[in-house]
Amino acid sequence: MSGKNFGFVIKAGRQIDIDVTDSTLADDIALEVGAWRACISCGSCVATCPAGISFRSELPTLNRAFQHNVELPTLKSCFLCGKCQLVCPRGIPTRYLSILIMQKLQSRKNVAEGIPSV
Amino acid sequence: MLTEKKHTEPNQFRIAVIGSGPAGISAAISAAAIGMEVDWYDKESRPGGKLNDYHQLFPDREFADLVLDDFTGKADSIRIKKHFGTTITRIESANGQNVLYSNTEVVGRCDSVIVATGFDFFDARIKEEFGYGIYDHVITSPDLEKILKTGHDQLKKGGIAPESMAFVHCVGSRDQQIGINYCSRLCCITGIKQAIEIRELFPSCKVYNFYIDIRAFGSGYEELYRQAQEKYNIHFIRGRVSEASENQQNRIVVKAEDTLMARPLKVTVDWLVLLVGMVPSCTQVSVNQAQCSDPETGFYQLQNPFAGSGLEKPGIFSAGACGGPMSIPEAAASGRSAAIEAWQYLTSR
Ligand SMILES: Cc1cc2nc3c(=O)[nH]c(=O)nc-3n(C[C@H](O)[C@H](O)[C@H](O)COP(=O)(O)OP(=O)(O)OC[C@H]3O[C@@H](n4cnc5c(N)ncnc54)[C@H](O)[C@@H]3O)c2cc1C
Ligand code: SF4
Ligand code: SF4
Ligand code: SF4
Repeated sequence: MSGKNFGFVIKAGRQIDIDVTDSTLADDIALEVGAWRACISCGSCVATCPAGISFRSELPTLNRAFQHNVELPTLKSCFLCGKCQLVCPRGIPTRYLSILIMQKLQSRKNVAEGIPSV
Repeated sequence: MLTEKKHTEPNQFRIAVIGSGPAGISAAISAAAIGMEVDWYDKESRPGGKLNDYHQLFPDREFADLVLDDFTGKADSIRIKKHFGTTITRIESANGQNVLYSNTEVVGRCDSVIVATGFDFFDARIKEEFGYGIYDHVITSPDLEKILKTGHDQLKKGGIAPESMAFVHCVGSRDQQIGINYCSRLCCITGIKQAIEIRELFPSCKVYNFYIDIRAFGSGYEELYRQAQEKYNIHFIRGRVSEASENQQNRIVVKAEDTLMARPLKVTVDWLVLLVGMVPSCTQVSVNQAQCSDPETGFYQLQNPFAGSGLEKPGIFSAGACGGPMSIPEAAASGRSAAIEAWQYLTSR
């Protein structure tokens, strides 16, 4: 459905509003892997990833800009090679996180859609 | 040819120590341990300087009161004469003799002086955009230190624990707008320590630290930073707060840019804590009418920092944070060093 063309578009706000951030997923992950919060945004993981995935920005997104059931689409192309984990100076198990985050997102989606978990 | 060795007894020297913070205490103790006669001054009626108002010290969280008791206990020496409640305003130094003045009154004479007059907290009202002095729930790090010391219930509102709190780094430091370009060195770690204390006291309270760079340089500091992230789940957000305002519920709305995500950001908090920097003390002592200070920073300028802590005038030494931002162990070490330098000066002149 396309609206009327006024010659300009209004984009969704870009502001991160921490007051409405859903932190339950982040807290859930932290229970299993506390170390993931120690990211210092150095970017080594991004620079080394063959699939161009940025934990550097996905982690802060989860931490303070995540809104209920928003997907983190870039993670989908991770093929679990583990290079990012080898270079992380803070020793964050990023490869494992990649699996864990996708699993948690999927099970939330299942719950939302009423699909029973296996 | 026989040269007669100059025979010097330490107690023939009188030395004045001005200030009784960690630097002044250490200087007085060391000078007395060498055997010199010490005149010890402070404008306050009790010793300790800033340490009197702190709760717990980073990085190991010792209680400031215990550290202070330990310090002052060692300063109970018959060689140390205490003159508390006396503000020294200037020193007149000539021919190896120094006269100490409190305004126009002569209060002492001595062979050497150690100035340990410390620092002042930056006056946060100058950075109006953060609302200090305007909103009740905007406080500074020394304010929070006092609250933690005298009862953290003051942070509750109507008996309810705070839901969220934010800390602003670099308030009154690294800021060309106000002409203070240096880093105060200890506010990052103060913010990390205080954030941890808040998370311990109020486990459901979310804590956000807005920083430019995290400078956790000292031993044990980086470890505390990591703990703050990993164990205490404190949110470190890189970006300088642009403004704080109060909403109708008397909560503080903070705006900043999250520069790592390149997006503007907003959060509402119950308390906003400003990590104020260290500025030169307004009661710094002049020597022969000169300020002896670094024209850039205003702190005392050492004649030759590689060689020691002497100021321009021979026989006058600086110890502690009056020479620039430093931690308590550093201030104490510089006090001890100044005492030895004074002794070397007196015995070799
Ligand atoms: C918020 C905050 C928290 C901190 N927490 C810690 C911590 O946990 N651990 C740590 O290691 N460091 C900490 N620091 C740093 C610490 O405050 C300093 O290292 C320390 O106070 C320096 O000691 P000082 O003796 O040089 O100065 P001060 O403590 O400032 O003492 C100076 C003394 O000189 C007296 N004086 C000043 N002018 C005159 C005058 N003209 N005549 C007579 N007396 C005078 C003053 O009354 C005062 O007693 C903190 C700093 C800040 C800003
Ligand atoms: S494990 Fe995934 S995210 Fe890490 S480097 Fe490999 S593809 Fe990239
Ligand atoms: S390498 Fe590690 S510390 Fe650096 S950005 Fe990636 S996850 Fe964070
Ligand atoms: S120690 Fe940290 S908060 Fe303080 S001035 Fe330096 S960078 Fe800023």
